Amino acid sequence: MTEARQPQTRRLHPLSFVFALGGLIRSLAAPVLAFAVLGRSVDRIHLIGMLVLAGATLWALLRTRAYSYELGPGELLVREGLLDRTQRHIPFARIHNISQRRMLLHRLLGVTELRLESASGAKPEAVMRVLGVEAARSLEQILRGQQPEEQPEEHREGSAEPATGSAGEAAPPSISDTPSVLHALSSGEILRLGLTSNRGLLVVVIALGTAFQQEFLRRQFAAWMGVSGLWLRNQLFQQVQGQRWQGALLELMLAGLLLFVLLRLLSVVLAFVRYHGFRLEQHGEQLIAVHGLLTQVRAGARLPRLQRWQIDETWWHRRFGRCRLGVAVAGSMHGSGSHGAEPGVQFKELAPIARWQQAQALLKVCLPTLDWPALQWQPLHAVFARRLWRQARWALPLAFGLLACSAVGLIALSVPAALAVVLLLGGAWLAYLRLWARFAAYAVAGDVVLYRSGLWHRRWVIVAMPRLQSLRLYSTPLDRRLGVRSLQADTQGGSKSHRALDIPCLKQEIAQGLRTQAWQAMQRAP
Amino acid sequence: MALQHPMNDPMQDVQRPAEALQADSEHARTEITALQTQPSQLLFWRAFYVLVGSALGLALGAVFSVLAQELRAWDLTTVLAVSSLPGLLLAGAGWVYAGLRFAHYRGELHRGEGVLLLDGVWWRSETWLPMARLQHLDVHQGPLDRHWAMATLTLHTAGTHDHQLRLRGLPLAQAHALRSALMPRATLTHD
Repeated sequence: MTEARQPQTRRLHPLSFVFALGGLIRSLAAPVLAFAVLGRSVDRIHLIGMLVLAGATLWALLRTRAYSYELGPGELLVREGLLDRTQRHIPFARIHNISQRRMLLHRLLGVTELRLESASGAKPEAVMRVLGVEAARSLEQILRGQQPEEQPEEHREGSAEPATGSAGEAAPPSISDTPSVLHALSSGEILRLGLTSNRGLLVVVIALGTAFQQEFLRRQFAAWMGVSGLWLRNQLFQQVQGQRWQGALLELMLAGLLLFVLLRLLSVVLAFVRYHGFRLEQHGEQLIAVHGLLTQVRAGARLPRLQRWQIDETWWHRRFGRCRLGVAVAGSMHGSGSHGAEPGVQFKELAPIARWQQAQALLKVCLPTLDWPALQWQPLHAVFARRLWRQARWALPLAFGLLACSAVGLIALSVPAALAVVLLLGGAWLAYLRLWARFAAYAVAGDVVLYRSGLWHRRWVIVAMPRLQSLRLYSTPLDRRLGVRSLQADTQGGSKSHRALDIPCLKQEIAQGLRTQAWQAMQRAP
Repeated sequence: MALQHPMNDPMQDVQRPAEALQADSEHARTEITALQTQPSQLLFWRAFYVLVGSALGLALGAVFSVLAQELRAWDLTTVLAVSSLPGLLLAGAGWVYAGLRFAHYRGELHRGEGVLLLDGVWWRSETWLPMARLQHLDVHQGPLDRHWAMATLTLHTAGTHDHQLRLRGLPLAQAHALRSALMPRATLTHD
């Protein structure tokens, strides 16, 4: 229900200029503080810095004052620019996602940063930095009210965990709908999420990588590594000299275990910072995910724009009986998600961690025709042989290299010992291949194609045939010898490094039949 | 024919043998036009792959001659003769490969449905692009293409990994005709 309203010009929050300055404040704040607080003598550089800061503040103030927006009939009119004025007409139908991000400073000042994303997703249509919380909420409700709603409101029962009482989020009941919470994470779930993820290791590696780019930190790190490396080597030397190699091995293992535990603890802390208070709500055909501890993020996606789902189940997930349901949305910016502590504004996951029934209930919301228990998983053809040949390309030379090195005497292993190692590893490798081949399978249910693979880290890839963009049947000479083809498909919003759907080892007739079926489904407009 | 339409019973389609599907597509009045790749494209590929092969071969030969100079094993003429061998061999291999690629390169227009492209000699790919997913089309001509009145038609979709498909070696008139035939008429509705 739309209300006729007078198009009134609204402006950004008065404190917007603070956020527009951004990085400049950080670099110039120190000398300003030094002058103001400590009253030190100011040399010319600091004076120039302060002048630049004052100039930039004035510019930011004027620019944010010049930004205004209006809600016209069927479109949003944005006026921005100080010297060159720009007027942008954004039809409501082009605004697909509205996401909000509130960092600590935003929350202290009671403001929020609003992003309006369009269908192409390359750049947000409008980034409003910053609006007051109430203004943002009313704008979002108005924009959502303008979206054509196709599905009637349905409330999920039983599958979602009881919604954590949303204290402080007392949203006034909107005109048309009340949100239903599809999925919510309690603290226990976030703990499990941290324990099953290796984000701690990732963050440490990235931090080291960026730190190494700075000369000073690199030298410090090298010095520290030198000292501790020396100490470690002395310790091990003492152990080995005293013929107590068991002790040395035990020490190494304990050190490894300690490192692992520390990294997992870091992962848990990062999971809390990132996913605290996670809640997935459904407003009509729009899904909104709210999460974050210090930086709160509110990201949305519309159901028809979801392109590809993936359920991940690593070895750790299986210990806890959980899985992860990720999703690719059309128009999402590729690969610009944040990996660290800060939650990204992208909508990438329907459930960072969930029980299997919950994940399947969420899938049912997105794909109502998918009936998981009734799926008929078809095994692939000649998977073992294909993977064997492909991996033997580098496995066999490695084995021969190892044997040659031991025969020549380059490594401290006698030839029989090296042979035993090779045979042991080879047996393990063959067993791994056989188990992998047994698990890999595909299934077709109406318009939906599923493909599962993996052994330690299991993945289920789910795509809907009408939403595919292109198809590809691929074969290597080995494939043709084995009589199989790979069926590959591409969707919007996926990753540039791998295809959305890549099913290897399908028998030729089956691959062509699937291709024909998908081809018919893709003839309609999306 | 309506009862046999694949959409009525999707699961059955998967198990049907290839011949029945072929008959169905003929029944389903899909007109398939083969797109002839121009012979000039073969010339272009021959020149290109011979160049690539000889460059690689010369690089290898140069490495070999430097090594031989270090070792001072043979005299200069032998070294030069041997180091030019890889260049000649790889140039010949490039010539042969260009011929093979041209033989396997085939495009088809399925009227009202989309485009098919078969490409590759050993690593073969069969790419199917439906009309309903085309975002826009480009006709591109390199300097040699202009000399031979050929063009490359690039089809863009909204995908991420395989978002464009290039049809090479089309006659210029046919490229433009294809472009107007495939141009998305109705505005794609964004849902």
